[in-house]
Amino acid sequence: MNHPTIALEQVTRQYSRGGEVVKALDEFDLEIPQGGYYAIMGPSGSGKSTLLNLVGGLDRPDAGSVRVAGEDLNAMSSGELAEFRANSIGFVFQGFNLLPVLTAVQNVELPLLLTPLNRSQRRKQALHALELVGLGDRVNHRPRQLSGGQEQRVAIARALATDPQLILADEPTGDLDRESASSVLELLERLNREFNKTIVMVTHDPRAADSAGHVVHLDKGKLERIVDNRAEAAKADAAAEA
Amino acid sequence: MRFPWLLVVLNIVGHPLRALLTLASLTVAFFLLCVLTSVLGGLEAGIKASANDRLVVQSAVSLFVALPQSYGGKIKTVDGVEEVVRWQWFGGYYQDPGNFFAQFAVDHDRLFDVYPEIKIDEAAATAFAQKRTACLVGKELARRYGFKPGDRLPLIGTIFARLDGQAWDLDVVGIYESTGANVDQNTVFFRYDYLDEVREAGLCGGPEGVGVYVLALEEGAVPEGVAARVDALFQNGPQVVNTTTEAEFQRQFVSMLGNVPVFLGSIGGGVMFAILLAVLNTMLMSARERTHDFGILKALGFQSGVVFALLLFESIGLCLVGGVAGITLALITAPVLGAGLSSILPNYAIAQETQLMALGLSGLIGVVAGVLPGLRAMQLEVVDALRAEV
Repeated sequence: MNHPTIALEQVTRQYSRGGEVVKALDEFDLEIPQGGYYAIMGPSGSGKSTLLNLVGGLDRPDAGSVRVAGEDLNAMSSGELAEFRANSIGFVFQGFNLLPVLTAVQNVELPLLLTPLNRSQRRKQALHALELVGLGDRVNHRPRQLSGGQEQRVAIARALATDPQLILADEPTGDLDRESASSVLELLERLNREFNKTIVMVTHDPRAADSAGHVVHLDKGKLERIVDNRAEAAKADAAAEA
Repeated sequence: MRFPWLLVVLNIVGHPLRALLTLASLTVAFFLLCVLTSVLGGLEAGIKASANDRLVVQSAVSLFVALPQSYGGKIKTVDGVEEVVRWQWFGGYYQDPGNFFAQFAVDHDRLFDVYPEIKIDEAAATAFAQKRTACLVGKELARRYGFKPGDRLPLIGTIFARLDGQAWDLDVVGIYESTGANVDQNTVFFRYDYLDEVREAGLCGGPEGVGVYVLALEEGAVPEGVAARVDALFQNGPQVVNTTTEAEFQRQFVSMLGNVPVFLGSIGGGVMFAILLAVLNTMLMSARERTHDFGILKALGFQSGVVFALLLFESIGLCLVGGVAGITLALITAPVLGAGLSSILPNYAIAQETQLMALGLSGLIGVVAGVLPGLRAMQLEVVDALRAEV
């Protein structure tokens, strides 16, 4: 196993809902190695999105530690967390989360404003990212002029633009038709395989989960089990041969 | 890190109707502010430009009570008085009562000694000295009605109405310019001896006597001292007088209109407060609609300060554009408004100070209206902002 790029130790995150305390994550432990492709599954309210928010530095735990790429996120100020997100993480959301007033290339360029690149370098890199996701011919389209699948690919291009090691995807195929979902999953697989990106993907879709290397099952804020898809596939193949 | 300026611009133009309506409100508000300030400035310009070393002697009872003709010679003997010139408000009109402008009967041979800021050419000076029915027309008035030397200017008297119902026929002999804002260029000056002649012949109505005496002082004379001596001279009548500096005399005219500066200032202040609330409302609405976008920006790694600055700059940008549009509109309409107001407000102009004040105020309103939504957006938790309805 590679050195873990994500390490959660005894993480608890609770919310108060209508006067009742709900534990979204309860003394949760998880390690994800660099270059891993992990799907997070579980019923609604099992803590999947909370887990993703904590790893992405969008939220803070009530107890326990969250370390990402060797950094202790608990020890960071809000400003440092923002900087960390800009430098180390690419986000892909279910609802794409593109800024409607910007074109595809401007959306992809947005996180590059946080880097030292100059204007032409930013544009070049954004165009390259759009080429990579197969949208080189849609650079000047605004989100409303794109299909859902194309919007999600723009969002993936944006996540890739700063070349982060970690990509966090929250239900990336949730709003897509079957064909678009397949194309997005293929893209994520490729990023993991060819560019060694660590990918953590929250999903309800078993097909999406199958495309990942591992599937982390959560229930009521606790880790239920981790399934190694490749090992399972190997076992199934061996059983079939036998 | 580079600031996403493009977002500032695109967010303003992203809602064209809302942006246009807000800009239209701002434009009207700053146009009004410029106009009101310029009206105030116009009222005060005459006061500011008035000489403190020139005195005006009027009846202590009222400006509308005439002083005896004999006072002129007596005032001339007062220590510190260099020259005395009689002024009489004529109050006539040209062709139609709507054609209102000021006309004064003055001592033609002393007017320029007391008012060196009134400039005419030599031919006009000669003609004004020689012809009893001669008159001088202000440059702006001449432009408005097309008067030129050689024209006949018939004035229908109201105070000094001719008994035969005819007009006073004046001959335009020159066009004067004034180098000071205290003498406007929308006035007609004609000779006092012509007024006297017609009056003495019993050919017109109107009061006997003199409206006011204007005094030029000797060099080094203390105005207050001279004024006190003039007042003392007539303290036993037959008409008690009140002597003031020209500046104070002008101020009295302004105060006759009521407390105009306070009134206009209140309107201007109200307009500014209303526009502040309008812009604040627009910005709050715009910020609330974009809560989700701010969540995206924060998730991407933009600092909370950037989100604050986005709204602040957006607000400032909107207000500055509206402010500049309002100022531009005020400048474009100034000639028309100036011409329309020239008879009552000859010094109407959109001064550079007014433009700068309006521009500064537009920026200030932008800052104030941008701070509250900016602070709200800054304090948003990323997760909550991302959950907001798109």
